[in-house]
Amino acid sequence: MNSHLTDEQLNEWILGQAGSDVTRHLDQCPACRHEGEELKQALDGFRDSIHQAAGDYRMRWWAPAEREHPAWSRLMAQPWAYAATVALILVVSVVLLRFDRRRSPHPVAHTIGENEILMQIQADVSDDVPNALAPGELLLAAGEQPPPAPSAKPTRKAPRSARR
Amino acid sequence: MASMIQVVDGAIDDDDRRAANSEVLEDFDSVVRRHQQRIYRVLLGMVRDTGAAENLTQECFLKAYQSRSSYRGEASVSTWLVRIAINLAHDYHRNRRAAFWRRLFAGDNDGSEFAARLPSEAATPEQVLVAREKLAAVWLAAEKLSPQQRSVFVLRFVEQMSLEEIAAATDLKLGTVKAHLFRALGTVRKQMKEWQVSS
Repeated sequence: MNSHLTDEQLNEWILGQAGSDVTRHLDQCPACRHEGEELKQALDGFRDSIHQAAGDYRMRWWAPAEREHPAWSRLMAQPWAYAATVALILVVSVVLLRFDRRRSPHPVAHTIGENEILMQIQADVSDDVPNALAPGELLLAAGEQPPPAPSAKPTRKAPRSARR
Repeated sequence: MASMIQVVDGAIDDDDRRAANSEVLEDFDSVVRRHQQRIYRVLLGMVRDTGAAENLTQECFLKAYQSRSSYRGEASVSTWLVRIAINLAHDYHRNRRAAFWRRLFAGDNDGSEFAARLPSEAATPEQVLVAREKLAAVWLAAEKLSPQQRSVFVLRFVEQMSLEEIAAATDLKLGTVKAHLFRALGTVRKQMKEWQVSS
């Protein structure tokens, strides 16, 4: 026994693949035996720590079908699911339409008010701008009755052409 | 003629073994029950985080369940599952985002969490402390290993698998497995020497 074991020889011993010469050396050399035993103890401690941390480990749940097909997709696979979906859409549409009708008076009144204002503006413009009456004159020339003026403004001025 | 019969017999044996291995997968619940602890231990040794190990264990069995039709029965179910687990652990380490969150929430895990679980069989508190420090050195060394070295190291020293089984589970050659183990042991020894010098 001239020298101590190499790292490689110790590794082989740890892995249980050492030859008889290595085993014999370890029997006779306290230093090598101590180094080998210390390494082995540390590795055993590593194994034990993981085994104890794992303990009686059980997976919290195991339901691959649920992971593969979520609840909504399994529900939609049912034959009645499409009919139910269509019915639901129809009901929601009807409810929304009814709700919209109940709210409708205000916008309609608003629209009527806007129309009256527009008519009034149109009447004012037609009073001031002679060209605006050109289509009416053409109609008179053709012997047709022009459309009645909007009744929004009761005291309406006579057209400029008539004043002339 | 005799050798031909042997070859035919061998083929039948292989087919039988594959069929038997495939049949095992039909009752997947029992596969989960039988192997969940081993897979969890392998993953815990590799990722060193109980939460991540739990998630990866579930992921492992889900992957196995989804790809059970492609299992040809050439390796044992255990080896096949370990291979899936190792690939998942490698992906986990490759994932930079996971690494970021791991660092953020886990901090620097030197294995003391696991070392603290060790039974205090040693007679004195000082001996317990020494044992725990040695263990922390091994955990620290394991952290320094490359993912492949670590997987080989865990399979050998946690699951006590033979070199041939490790080669089958990791898709490595026997010589490569041995080389990884030697390097891993070298790292552990170096870490332990550093610990001895510092203490």
